[in-house]
Amino acid sequence: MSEYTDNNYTSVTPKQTAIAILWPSFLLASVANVVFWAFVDPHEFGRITGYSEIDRMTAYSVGFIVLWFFTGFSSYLTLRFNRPRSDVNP
Amino acid sequence: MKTPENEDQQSKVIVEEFYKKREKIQPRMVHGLFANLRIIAVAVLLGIYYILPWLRWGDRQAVLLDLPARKFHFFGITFWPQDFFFLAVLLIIAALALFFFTTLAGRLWCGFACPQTVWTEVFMWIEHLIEGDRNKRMKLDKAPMDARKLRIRGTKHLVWVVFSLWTGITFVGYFSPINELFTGLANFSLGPWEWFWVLFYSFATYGNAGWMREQVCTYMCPYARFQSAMFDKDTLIISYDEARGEPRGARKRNVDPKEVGLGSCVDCTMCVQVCPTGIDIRDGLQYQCIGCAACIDVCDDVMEKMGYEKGLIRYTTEHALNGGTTRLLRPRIIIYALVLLTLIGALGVAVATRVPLELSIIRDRNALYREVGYDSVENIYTMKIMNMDEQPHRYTVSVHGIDDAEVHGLDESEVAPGEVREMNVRIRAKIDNLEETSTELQVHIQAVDNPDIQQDQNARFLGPRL
Ligand code: SF4
Ligand code: SF4
Repeated sequence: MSEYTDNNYTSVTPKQTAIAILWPSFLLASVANVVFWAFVDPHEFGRITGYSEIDRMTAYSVGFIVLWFFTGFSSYLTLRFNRPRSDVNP
Repeated sequence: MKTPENEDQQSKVIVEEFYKKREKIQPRMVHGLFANLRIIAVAVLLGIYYILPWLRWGDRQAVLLDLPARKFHFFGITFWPQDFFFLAVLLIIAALALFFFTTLAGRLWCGFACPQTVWTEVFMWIEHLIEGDRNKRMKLDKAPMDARKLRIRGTKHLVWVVFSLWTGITFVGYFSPINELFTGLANFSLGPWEWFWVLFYSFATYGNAGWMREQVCTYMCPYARFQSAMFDKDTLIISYDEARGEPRGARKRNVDPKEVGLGSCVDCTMCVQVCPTGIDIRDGLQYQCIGCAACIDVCDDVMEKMGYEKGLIRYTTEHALNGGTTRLLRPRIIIYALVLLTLIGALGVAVATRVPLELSIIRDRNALYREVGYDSVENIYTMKIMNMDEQPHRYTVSVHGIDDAEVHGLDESEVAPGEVREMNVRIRAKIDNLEETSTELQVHIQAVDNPDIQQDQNARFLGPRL
């Protein structure tokens, strides 16, 4: 057992953790972004929310980043909830 | 026994296996039936990809997904976001096709059609041309950095980068007119978004096909993680025939394997050397295997040289390997195929008969009806007409269901392509012509210059209690 003294998850580097959070959320944010803007015209969206004169390309891009933030947060929570007890409260 | 400790150890091992440091894989080139099939697949798919944006239809680009204008040209048809339904059906068809082919013969998609495989293949051809075959490349990897290595590596990366940029520009050419894109590149007048996406897609191509390669499949691809759930015992998968191959071992060409107590596998490790994911197919089915069939090609070569029967590694099924017979045409396959064909047919018909006009009519919920004069009543509606054609049109509106009903307040001026014309209209009817308190009306709208462009919508008409 001695060679496995350190915690399970410490062998996952911060870089890998970041990818595990950012990558799946990127995929889902892309899909959600397409679906959202397929149903809502940014001009219409701008009219309703009061941000008139939104450029469509800007709306698509900002929408993507906002969605990515949310899906990313969800991935992050999943990762946290998936940890063994011992790791949360050593 | 399952103690917390050995559970921990297990997950430790798994974690290590998932995230072990990657060793660079230098696959050997293969020739043979499946290699040829892949060459054809790559040529066809990339041919379509690079040529499609250059095709013209009338005076515009044949395939152009114009995001800023929210319209999507596809040869003769222009789609609008309102046509999202078609896209949804198309995606369902794509998913079903993936199920169908996976159930039939495993990861055909991965081995022959996935962009990851297709571009990686091209990048490996370039690598092979510049750096030489597998042995030369491995030697080059080990060699210290000197002028020669720098030159070879530099050339390779330069060619990769140029090819990636071409790929990136082509990609953006699907979203922004490709002619203007090239002029814009030439005189540095591209917009910021165009620049961003050209570089983004080029970088993704270069990174994924040049550097990441099989790691994309192993660590990043969602499909790779659940494809095995679609397998059953009759799915054709690439397998090593263990019963025939073992015990493996080297031997002289003219020795009868039975005499020396060996199976057909000569343990030449060729199947490992050609594998783009660096696994040994003889260890059984592994989720890293992308079904490229390179190991089949190379093993068949070896078998031929040895004078043995081919197919030590082959497409086969679990049933066949266990001595049973394979049933390719099983209910699952037939159902998938039928649903798939029906959907494709339905989509084809729907697109062919699509009318580039949309009509919605909603009764004003705040008012029941209004009496006009002493013999008529009026209902108010919000009517929306959307012109989904590429030409402007004028439309006529008529109502059926109540004799002599009239529409007032119409705006009959021309509706521009893509425009949504919203108007408040009043429908007026004589009380004598009403048979019920609530009557169903049919509103009919038709383009003045083209009677084929027409739509019908139902609406309720409320009148006084009779
Ligand atoms: S595993 Fe995923 S990325 Fe790799 S070839 Fe298959 S579908 Fe493509
Ligand atoms: S095991 Fe064979 S089929 Fe699978 S990825 Fe490797 S070479 Fe291709």
